Amino acid sequence: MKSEHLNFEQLSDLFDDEVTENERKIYIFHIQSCSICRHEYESLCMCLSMLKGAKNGCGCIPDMCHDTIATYRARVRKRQYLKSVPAIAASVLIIAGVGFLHTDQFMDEKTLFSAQVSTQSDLERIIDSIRDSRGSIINITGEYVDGEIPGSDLAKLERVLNYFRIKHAVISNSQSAVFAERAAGFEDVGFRANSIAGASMFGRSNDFLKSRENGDKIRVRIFK
Amino acid sequence: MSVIDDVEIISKVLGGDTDAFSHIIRKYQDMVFRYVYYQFNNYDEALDITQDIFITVLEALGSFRHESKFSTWLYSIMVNHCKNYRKKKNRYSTVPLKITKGDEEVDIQLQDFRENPEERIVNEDSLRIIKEEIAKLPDDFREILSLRDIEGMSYNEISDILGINLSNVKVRIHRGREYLKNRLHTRGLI
Repeated sequence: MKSEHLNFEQLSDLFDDEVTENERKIYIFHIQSCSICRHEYESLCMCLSMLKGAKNGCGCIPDMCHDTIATYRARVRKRQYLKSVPAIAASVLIIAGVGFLHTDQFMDEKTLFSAQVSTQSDLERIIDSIRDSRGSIINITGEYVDGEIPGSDLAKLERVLNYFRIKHAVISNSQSAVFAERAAGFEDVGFRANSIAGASMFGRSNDFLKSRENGDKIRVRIFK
Repeated sequence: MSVIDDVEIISKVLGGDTDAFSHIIRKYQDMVFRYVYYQFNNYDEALDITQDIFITVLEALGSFRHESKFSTWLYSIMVNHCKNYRKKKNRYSTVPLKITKGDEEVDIQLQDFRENPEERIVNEDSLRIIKEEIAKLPDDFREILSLRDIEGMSYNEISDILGINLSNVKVRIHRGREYLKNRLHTRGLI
């Protein structure tokens, strides 16, 4: 063993006592007899002793309990707050949205919009119902639609108009004369006040019944 | 304070008594601080990191499954926290403060007026040199020598904390010691 020096791993293991009893005896015997290995081992011991001495070299530290736990609590609170931010934002948006819906400006626009839609759908519905009653459109103005339908289809038209609560009235049951006037471009379609006055807005009128019995063409004014 | 005490404290903390964690902090703060200090060689930085480590431990306490000793689990968090911090720090390297004197730029010398704990150490030069050399060690060596030769942990504990096998632990310890010994020899300390 004297001819072969101990390597660093063996010296390190000896220092840590990570050797068997037999190895220890051999290593110690060698170190005692070999000046080079002894010097190496002493250097290692000194190095590790200084390293161990560094344990006290980083100074004292204050008690960290209070600060650490306070910081932890602050972080928890912050995290909870950040978690609730989306909910708060959503609530604010909902409240703002509801508030906006209740503003006059929004209501005006909404009313205008729904009126437009309603008008369009009513006009379409009126035209469709006249066509379904085998009738024809005579005149369309901003306020009403005049149509002419066979007397036998009055009941059907009446049902549709009543269902949609559309105001209507029979304005004439004359035939060729009225057509002639309309062909000449007159706006007057023979509306008679007593005719509309006698008509029920949503109910069955006497004119309707009479026309139905006769089977004549009936002119009807349907209000938008 | 025994291992059972750690478990009792953990139960209390998990039961909502956060203040009970102060026992854990008092018990381990010196060791954790020392390890961190020798990893970064900066007192203030080490204090902040130590606090962060304990907060991390507190937050992760619910995930401690009692498969190892609490101290081993805590040291694992400590080692990983330091590794992550080092990575982050390397990404944002610091720029030394300089002032212009004439045509030359000179480093600003900031004097530390706090009470210097090292004054109590008799051999100040030796300590300074060993600190410098610890700071210059490669990260792997510094990490393992801190655990083994400064904190006096066993090979098995180190193996558990670092998550490497025993033979690797031994190899790293040997290489680290040899490296440090040669450095100290070069500096004329041994």
